[in-house]
Amino acid sequence: MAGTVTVLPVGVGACCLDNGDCDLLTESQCLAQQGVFQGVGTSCSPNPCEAQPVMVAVVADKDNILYETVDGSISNALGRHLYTGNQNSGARRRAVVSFDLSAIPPGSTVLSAGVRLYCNQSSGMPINVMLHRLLADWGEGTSQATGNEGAGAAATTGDATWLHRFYPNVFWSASGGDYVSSSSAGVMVMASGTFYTWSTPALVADVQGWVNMPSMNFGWVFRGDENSSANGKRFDSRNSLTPANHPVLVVTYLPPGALGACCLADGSCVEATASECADMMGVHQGAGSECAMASCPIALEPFVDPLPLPAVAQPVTGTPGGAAHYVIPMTEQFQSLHRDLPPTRVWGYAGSYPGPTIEARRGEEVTVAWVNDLRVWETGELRTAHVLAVDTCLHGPNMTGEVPVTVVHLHGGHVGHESDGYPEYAFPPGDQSPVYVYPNNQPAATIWYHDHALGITRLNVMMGLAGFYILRDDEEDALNIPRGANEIPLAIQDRSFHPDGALKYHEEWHDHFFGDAILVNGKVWPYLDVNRGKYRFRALNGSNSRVYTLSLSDGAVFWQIGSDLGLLESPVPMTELTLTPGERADIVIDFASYAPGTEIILTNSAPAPYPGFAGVGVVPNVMKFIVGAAVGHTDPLPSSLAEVPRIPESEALLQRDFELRQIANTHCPDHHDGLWTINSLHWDDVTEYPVLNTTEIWAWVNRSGVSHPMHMHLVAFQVLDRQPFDPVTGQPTGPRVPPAANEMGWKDTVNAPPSEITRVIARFTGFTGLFPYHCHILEHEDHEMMRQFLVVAPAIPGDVNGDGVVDFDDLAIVLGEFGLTGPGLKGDLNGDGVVDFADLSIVLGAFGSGR
Amino acid sequence: MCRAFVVVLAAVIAAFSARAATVEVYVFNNEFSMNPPGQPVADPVISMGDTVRWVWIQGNHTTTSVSGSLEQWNSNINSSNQTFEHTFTNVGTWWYYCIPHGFDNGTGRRAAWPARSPCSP
Repeated sequence: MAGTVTVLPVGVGACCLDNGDCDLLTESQCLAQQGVFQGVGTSCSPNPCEAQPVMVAVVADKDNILYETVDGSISNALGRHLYTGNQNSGARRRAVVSFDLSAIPPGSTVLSAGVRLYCNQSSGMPINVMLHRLLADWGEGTSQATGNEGAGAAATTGDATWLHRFYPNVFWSASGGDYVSSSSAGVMVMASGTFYTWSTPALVADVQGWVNMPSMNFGWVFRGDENSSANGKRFDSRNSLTPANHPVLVVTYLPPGALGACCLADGSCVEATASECADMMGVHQGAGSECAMASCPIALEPFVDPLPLPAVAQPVTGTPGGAAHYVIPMTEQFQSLHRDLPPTRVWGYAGSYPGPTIEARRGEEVTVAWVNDLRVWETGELRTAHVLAVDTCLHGPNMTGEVPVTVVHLHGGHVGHESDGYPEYAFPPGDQSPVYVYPNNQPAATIWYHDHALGITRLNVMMGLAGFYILRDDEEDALNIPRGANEIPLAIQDRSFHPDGALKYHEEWHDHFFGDAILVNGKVWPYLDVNRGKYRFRALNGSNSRVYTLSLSDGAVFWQIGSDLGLLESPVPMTELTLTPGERADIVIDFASYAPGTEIILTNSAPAPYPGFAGVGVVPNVMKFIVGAAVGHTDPLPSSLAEVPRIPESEALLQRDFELRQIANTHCPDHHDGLWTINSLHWDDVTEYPVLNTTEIWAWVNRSGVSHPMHMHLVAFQVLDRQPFDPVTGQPTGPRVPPAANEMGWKDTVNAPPSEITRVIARFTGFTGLFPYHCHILEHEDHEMMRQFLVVAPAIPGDVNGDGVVDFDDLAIVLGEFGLTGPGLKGDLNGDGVVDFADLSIVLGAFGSGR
Repeated sequence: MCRAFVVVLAAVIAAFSARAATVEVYVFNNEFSMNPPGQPVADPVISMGDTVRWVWIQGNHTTTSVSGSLEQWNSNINSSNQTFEHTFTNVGTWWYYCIPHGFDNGTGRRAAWPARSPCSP
């Protein structure tokens, strides 16, 4: 993580111009523009030309202590101290304090707030004293403890006690006070004889809430160490003999009337006061905020459009679902993404976003010529510039400029370098790829194709360049799992819109994009009519940056039957499924037990960024299921699905560690966000040379605060484990934890959480050549969090185990796997997905070499 | 002449009487920002002589200037609800980072992309 501080010359300050704008100028420059100079060193943020911040210091208007007793008979309204922490008896004590905010005009915007207490006695250890917002009113009677006041005094009428809000007849709902369980602030209190200030965004939110609704202002409760009697902390109360030490709340606010950005329901933005904005049914973004910086979501009604199902791609020769040759153009079109939104200019494949689904069968080769036929829809001319803003500082567009070059990657496909959609092979409109060969020598799986052009993948995918590639096989067909109309792909993506329906995306590179609407198969928050039975959903997180934690609105159990690259060994019951960008999950939802007409929402609870803060950035709706009367697939799920033999860790020749972190963006210093890197190296730095048919462990060491979905091309890997570590020392802080049952299948993308080492094990089989590995947050991938490995041939063909000689050991490996099919077979020397005589002949042909 | 003197004097008084400001920047996973989490990330623009106070609200982070920068500062690893201040006395845009979650590129200055190697595939 990185940031900047920009320092202006002395003499510069905020200058208010006639139009209300604020510029940073010297006084003479300001006068020359007939502006009003605000003083040297004044800032334009917040904009002083619209309102001046006001600071007030409010002394507590009420305080008391809740002493834990069975009968709630002790209080200390007029005492000179406030206590947190326990009495020697072990009984808890909590201080309650409130502040009268009537001096702050309604409609004000609170900019900062801090509560200051003076600690006059501190026992034992430093303690994080927490402050929680109180939820009910309470009183200050006339009780007054004597001495050190640690034990309190008999409560009087109107006193707050452990049990009472107002002694003796009005009670808290919960003993010890009614307060918000999460604290608004905490401060380590150590030495006595000093002031401590609690000031956090949550505390600012508390004060803002009270300014908006004074009737909810009941103050805060302060809680110290409540587990031991050794660590009491005592503060001056508002009755302290030293007035300077009384509890004070310092608030800085902008008075009402200050202009700020006001987001209207249609996604437009006007600058207005908070009250004017409320009159327009808008959402005020805060005094001093500007429309240029505001991201105003368009209010779209959820669940009004049916879920679209992508069409099946039609080949030029052959048949869908078998060996076939396709010619697939990338196209620009206008498409309705929501009932109430004007059609959106999108890109797709063969005229649709998402692209048509390529149906394929194991062992039957599919070939595709991908054509960049992106044309300006209005004129029909080949595009020379992108629809979205291209950041030409990034590697890729620094050479290709604004031209929408494209290249297609089959994500999850075990394919050779020439057909892998190598990012530097991107080609401009009017050009096309060589014929890409997809051998389909791998188990049935939900894989997908999408754009992979160097430095503009995020823009091309944002425009719509993605589609499903469903690979099937006999083993899966033999299972009684929902199919046909009961098998539905769900491509989940987030987008933002301008009022005219156009996609809204950053003007310059930022390290994430979080849209305010969720689309499934190209519709915003769609609905799906379902029969009363089981459905297989092939869920894909096709979003640029957003992580989803999916669950059903009624909390019902569903089953995951497949991961990125095929079926799991058995169905895994779940109530929550997290999918990071690029990951897929095959899940089965059973609607059999619902009454016709029941509506169930597929919801999302993942913060953005992820894992972030609970509730922050969440878009909760994904889509809705409406249960019909007809009965559907009601057969039980098979208990056994597929064999997924674990790759033994001992098979790995080596472990490679990859540090994921953000560094200062000195390549593009105008960017706010730092550069994301793997081992602090760049795309052009090739340092990994796995030998064909060998096995390696790759460890993603996440030294950042966000999860990175790490994707490797070419290989199918298995997740070995995750281990917490201290990002400062680099040392592990806990054991290696194996993955959950739903991550025990074949995968190509893995969630690498912050401050954890995520290890995967992979066999590099089938093809030599350069292949990318990268974070699948496309904003990260586009700006250097993508590197490449070069699979090299063993020094001696037929040297299966890499020991330098072709001998009986190598022969034994091939014979041991003879007849087997699937990914990652070491004996599959020619990479055709099966160990057969062709592989045997390679070993026999070289037998004895290297001796 | 006399008028010019008054203007100069006024400017000097203004310069010396202007109170240096303190700007707060929150530190959390995975940003430095003047806005709290969940809002747009904003970097401060201040005047020479102003102070930036970093306020930790989540995670273990440092605020550390890149080497080569005229402005040099380095906080300890702080956790929630602690602060660190640095007063800026040089005009310019100064990059900084978090030691456990970032990396010092060395110069703190603009670097260009290497030209594409002719032997790149």
